Amino acid sequence: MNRILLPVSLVCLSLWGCSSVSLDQAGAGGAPIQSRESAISGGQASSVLSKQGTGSDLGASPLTPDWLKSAGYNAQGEASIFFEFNQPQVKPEYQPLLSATADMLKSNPKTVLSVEGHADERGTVEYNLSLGQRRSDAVEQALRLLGVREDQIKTMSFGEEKPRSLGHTEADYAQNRRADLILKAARP
Amino acid sequence: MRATPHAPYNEVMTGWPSPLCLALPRSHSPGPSSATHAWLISLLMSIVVLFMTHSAFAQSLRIDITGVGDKQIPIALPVPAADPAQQLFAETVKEVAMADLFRTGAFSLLPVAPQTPPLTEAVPQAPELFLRWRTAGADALVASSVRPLPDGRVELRFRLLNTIKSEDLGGLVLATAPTTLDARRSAHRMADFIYEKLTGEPGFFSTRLAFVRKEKGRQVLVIADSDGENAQPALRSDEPIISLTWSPDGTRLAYVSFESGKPVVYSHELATGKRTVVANYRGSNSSPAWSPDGQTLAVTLTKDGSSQIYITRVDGTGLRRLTQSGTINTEPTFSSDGRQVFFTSDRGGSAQIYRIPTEGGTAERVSFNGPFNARPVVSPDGRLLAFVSRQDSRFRIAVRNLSTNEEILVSDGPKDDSPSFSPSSRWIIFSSRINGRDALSAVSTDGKVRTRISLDTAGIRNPAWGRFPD
Repeated sequence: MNRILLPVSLVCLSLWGCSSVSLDQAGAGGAPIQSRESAISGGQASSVLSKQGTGSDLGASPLTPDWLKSAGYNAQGEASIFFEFNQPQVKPEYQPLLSATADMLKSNPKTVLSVEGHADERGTVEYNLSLGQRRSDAVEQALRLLGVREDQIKTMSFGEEKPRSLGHTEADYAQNRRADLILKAARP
Repeated sequence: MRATPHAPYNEVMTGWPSPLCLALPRSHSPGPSSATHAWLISLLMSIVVLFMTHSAFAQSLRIDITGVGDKQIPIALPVPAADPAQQLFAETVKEVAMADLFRTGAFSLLPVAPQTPPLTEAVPQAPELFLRWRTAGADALVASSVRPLPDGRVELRFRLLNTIKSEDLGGLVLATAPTTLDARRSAHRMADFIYEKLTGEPGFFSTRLAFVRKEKGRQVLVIADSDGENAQPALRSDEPIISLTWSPDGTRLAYVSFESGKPVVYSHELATGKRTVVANYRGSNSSPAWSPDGQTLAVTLTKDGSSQIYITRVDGTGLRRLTQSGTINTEPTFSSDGRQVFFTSDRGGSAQIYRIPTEGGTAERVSFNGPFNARPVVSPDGRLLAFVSRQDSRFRIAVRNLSTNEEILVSDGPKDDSPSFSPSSRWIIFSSRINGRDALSAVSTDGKVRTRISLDTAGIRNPAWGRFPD
């Protein structure tokens, strides 16, 4: 009798192809980026964005290190919003982050935001998946109210599957009740 | 993010020689022996059997049993080999069958020294035979032999004898290839036969388990024997795999995979490895549950702004929304007649279990004990509902009788999840955390017999118990 595994059938299902460009390789050349950076030498995020203007589409990423830092993102374009236990609302302290994000998205139609919701491990796997989604939806709602278009935001949830903190204390749980925001400048 | 689906080798799919019965079966069970005698024997045997299990199978798999059933049947199970070439085959059959029976908590397995002459199924059934074994403490005796066939195959023959009533309960002849895998399979068939004859319940040792093995960031969806052995991978991924569920005919597995970067529901045909996308809408797609006729699935989708339950055909067509209220509705499961869907909802302010007609209508709350009740699942015979209930800070498995509404807790937590019934509706397997590691636990639906299956090196979770093989 044949004891060998039936041949592996590779089923390639690329169902969610979201092309994105890493911040390191954005742009067609050095000069355009440098000129943008010299224009962004400090000041408020909103005034920086208005200086960038909307007409120039030179292929350079608007997600510059200075902008990211002032908006509250890390160098990879990631930020996190943390939630209280059983509270689906986004806390007021995140308003500046949301405003900056909304402005960036509205000014740069090719920029895309992914919002990934998470939950702490208490409860069941699927209920926590829904809790995580409720958190990412809350962030999306807040941004839509600020005028961001639906097609620039993608939401999903990891539930309890990807905890940032692996312990079982309240402090660990607080780290895991979050929505991760990931900004990407899509290649034009 | 890459994932590789396979068609796992599944003995249920590829054929199995049909056994011949040696004698007319008689339905009968021996009476209980004295409790102390049984307890002492079972204590002795527990040490012997566990030792044999660990040494014979140098896997990192570990099975622990706690608790025993109300009644234990002492049984003797020697398996002599006709010649030394079949020694390993015979040893494997004996150890796997003994472990199967032991795991149910319904048997105490007597130590048996090699018999001279060997005690085979052809032994004359004289009164002295029954008396001798009855005196030795066995209520039941399995007389068997393993011999080579001219075509290179191996034949296991056995007969089950009731020593209390001096009765022959019948037996089987199982001819297979001489491999260890076949020895395991024959052992499970033998244990199924013995279990059914002596307890009146169908044996579940030939059923398959699906679960997810998690190791250093890699996840593997595995299909294994009922004892966790003979594991075959069906999907490998760098991203999470959750919510496994078998189709009613046992040919497909539905699950949620994050391989594309978000949760998507797939239906995976095990014999071919072919997959269908059941649901991939905006947001999260999760929590699949098969209708009893295998034609539709209930799923949880967030595409309309909150987690709601929808009904869809397997190929994703015919999508229809079932729930309307609340922000979280998930973990749907069908009643055994397919007419109702039980599910978890936060519409009342906290996670509780509700029931709604499959065709749509008003949802009715069914859980009332405690601040968190979720993840309902209905037993195949339709009589019981298992679910996860939070007690203090521990998440435990509860079982409710759907006719009497009596509820008991059958596990201790602290983080039990994903209950799945055995096809006989007598056992529940679920995820639990043991010594900080994700492992599987099985419990009888009365809560008395508990088994744990854990791996040394990896976490295992999300179990789904397959159907009886045809």
